[in-house]
Amino acid sequence: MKNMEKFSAIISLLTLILCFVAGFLRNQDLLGEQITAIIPNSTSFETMSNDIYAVTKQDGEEVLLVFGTYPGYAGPMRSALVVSALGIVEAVSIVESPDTQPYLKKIIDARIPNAYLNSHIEHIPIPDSVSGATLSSVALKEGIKHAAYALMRNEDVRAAFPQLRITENSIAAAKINSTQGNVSLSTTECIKIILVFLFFLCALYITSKKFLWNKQYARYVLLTASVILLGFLYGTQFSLATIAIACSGVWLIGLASYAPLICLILAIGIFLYTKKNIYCMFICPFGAVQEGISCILHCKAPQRTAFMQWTSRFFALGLMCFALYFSQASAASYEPFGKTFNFVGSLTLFALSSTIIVLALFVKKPWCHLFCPITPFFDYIYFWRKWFFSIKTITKQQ
Amino acid sequence: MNTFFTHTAFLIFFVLCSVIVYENTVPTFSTTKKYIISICTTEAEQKMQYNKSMTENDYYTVITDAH
Repeated sequence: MKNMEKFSAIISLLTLILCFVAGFLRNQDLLGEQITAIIPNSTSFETMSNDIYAVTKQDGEEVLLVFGTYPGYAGPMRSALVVSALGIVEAVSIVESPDTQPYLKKIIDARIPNAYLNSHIEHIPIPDSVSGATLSSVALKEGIKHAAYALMRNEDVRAAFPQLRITENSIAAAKINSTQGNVSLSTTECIKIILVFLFFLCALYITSKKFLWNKQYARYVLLTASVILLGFLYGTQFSLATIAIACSGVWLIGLASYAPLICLILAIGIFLYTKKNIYCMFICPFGAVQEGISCILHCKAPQRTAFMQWTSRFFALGLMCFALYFSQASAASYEPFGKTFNFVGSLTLFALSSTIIVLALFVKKPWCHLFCPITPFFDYIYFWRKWFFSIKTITKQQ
Repeated sequence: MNTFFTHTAFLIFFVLCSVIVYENTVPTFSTTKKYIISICTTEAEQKMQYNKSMTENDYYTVITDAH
């Protein structure tokens, strides 16, 4: 093994750890700036309890600022409510969210945050979720519900702001509302997870010696099923953003969808154990679409030169560092899966998806061979595995 | 020559990917700059409603009333 590759592997790992630590430290210092951004004319603030602050404005008026967090698609969304001393909602803010721009834009364009304005804290409205950004909409609505409940039940707040006039009945009602929205796996999510397991089991069975029928046909059947179920129907495909989620640890706080993460863990686990990249060969829906198109003209796979290898590696590493530093999984996302299967994404993403699909007519699986960040990721894991076993063998021989 | 063209096309693709990354990370950049992703306030809402409801006809009525 070349020393240069060993050196690069270690440096990459250290850079990722450094970015993670720097990102963690960066998040420690944000509160003051966030309060000023939400209430620009604030002069001082006092912490009333965890996530609840009494903020004094320039005109001497005191308002309450409360934060609420709930898992969205790619991780926890943090939202904030500004409530007047009389209990009226004056401002709603999406403070942090790892979800990608198109989903957040859908929520803002549908004016979901605006629906809360001027309502009393006791009677928080329940606006409709936006189709196509359901998980992000739910994260915002539940975050606000949790924030309102946290504010109402806090005795210090009620003592300091008696004008709020919060009754015990409304606290009980808010508690029921807030409990209803507790993080739990929906039926669809359970189906997704079961499907992921089934696909991996089928793929393992097909690759095993026990499988007696035509392996190539079985693979085509599995890939077709994957395009329909994991691609179009459930959108359960892992990406570089999923790897960023796994590394950043946000999944410990909660995710609205665990299926891509489970898919990633299974893919890595099987790859480490069997050295077979079962996911890319048998399950990946986007790879299946490209392979299907490539079959029309029976084209060949492109040659992946060293320059191409290293460019895609650096690109993936750079995005991972960026995502870990800003605690923003969406920063590592550029794959055209969303646009191809769910038609969600920007015009540029549409251009990329269309080009890849057209290119697949002339070159076999162009995305998988040249641009997919999962390929360098598996290269990296394979490298560490190989190195680890070579060290183990040397130690045994000694 | 062939390799040159292949590599150029490859890099153009990565430029496209970078644009997508930029688009996806607009919230990240805005959060870095403004520390939050979005905010809506009653003041802004009132201003917007006022501007929306203010048609040319209303404006004319307001002017004549003032006279």
